[in-house]
Amino acid sequence: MTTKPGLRGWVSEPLVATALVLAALAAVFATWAGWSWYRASAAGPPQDAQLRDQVLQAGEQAVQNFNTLDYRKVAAGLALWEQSSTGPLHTEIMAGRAQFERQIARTKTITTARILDGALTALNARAGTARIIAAVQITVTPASGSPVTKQSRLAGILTRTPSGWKLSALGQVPVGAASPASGKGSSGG
Amino acid sequence: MADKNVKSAEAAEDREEATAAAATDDQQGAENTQGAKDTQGAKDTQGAKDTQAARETEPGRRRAWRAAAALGAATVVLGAFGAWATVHANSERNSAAAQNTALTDGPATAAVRREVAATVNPIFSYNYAHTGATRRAAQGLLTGPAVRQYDTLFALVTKNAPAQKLIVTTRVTNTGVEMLNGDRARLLVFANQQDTRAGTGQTSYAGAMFAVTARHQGGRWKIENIDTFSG
Repeated sequence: MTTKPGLRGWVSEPLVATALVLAALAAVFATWAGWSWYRASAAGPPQDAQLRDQVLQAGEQAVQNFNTLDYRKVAAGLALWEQSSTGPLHTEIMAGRAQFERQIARTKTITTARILDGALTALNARAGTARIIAAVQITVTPASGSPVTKQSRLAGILTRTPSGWKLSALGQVPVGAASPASGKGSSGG
Repeated sequence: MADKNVKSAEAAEDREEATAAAATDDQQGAENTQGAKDTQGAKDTQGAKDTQAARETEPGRRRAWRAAAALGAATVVLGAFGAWATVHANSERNSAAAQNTALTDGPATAAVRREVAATVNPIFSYNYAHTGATRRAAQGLLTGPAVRQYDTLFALVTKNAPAQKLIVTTRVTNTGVEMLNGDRARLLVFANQQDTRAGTGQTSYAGAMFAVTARHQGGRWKIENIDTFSG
């Protein structure tokens, strides 16, 4: 019987039979795993989740840009401010630019910022608007003297533009009784 | 002539006999082989049987080993691919972006913001005259490491507040949900604190910013960790 090298002959060998069963199980597992991987990667993260992360990242970067300025590279710094802003904030920067350049040339300060944490408080994909809050650590190094570090609470409005999401408003969250308006009431739709 | 004939007949017979004998031998040989095959050499000696089996199953056995080896290799390849694909499928599915429902799930995001604000306000508001009440209330709103963090923080309050006759009212002004995944969430919180010294009637304001990790337990969001960005 064993002399016949037919399929039945092989399968009757315990070794081959075991190997065949294991290979079949592995094939089933591989098929299932491959399918679930395909499904998972084809679906990807939901679009709205991607948008949220993308807007937050753009917002944090813009906030950081707006809190970074080196008196030795004022033109480049302010160009970055312009690039990171749109709407009212952009207009404001353009209007105050000359004055700001003179001021920074006089004080000779280097300002750097680190985003400690940031979150969107609202996101409206259809309208192309979002609200961001950020905890920022700002270090100001004067021409003479040691650097001063302070923590700052910032809130901003992001607006979608053809060249990405940009800040259309940015400001400190005020401390005190008459403050709570900013960033509130945005119910995260 | 007759002799010759006889002789030649004899010779012919002899030849025939020889042929017959040879035929019989062949037949016997065939029978032997057949018998050996059918009975697997039951009538033969052990040595003969082994030789026979070895000679006959050697190619089949080698093929079986080869088939087993090939199947084994296929098993390894398929198994490795399966494991790789499973790992990737999981990482794909569990990617931070996919799992995070902050803002993408509007009602859940609103609920965690509301509840975390409703938790922060009372635990950081106190009256020097009854700090114990705040502390007791806080215990039900905190969980995990936040319990110890709060104890450390509130020990200072218990020590200093009565001397300064301090009344602190905390109000959350901004909350942003960074991460929301089932029963876990992380929020960035801005709050304003109004400090009033009952003795002098002086009021001052301060702003606070911190991130909280919240956990949904027993039907409500509790604060599990407070990060004040001081580290």
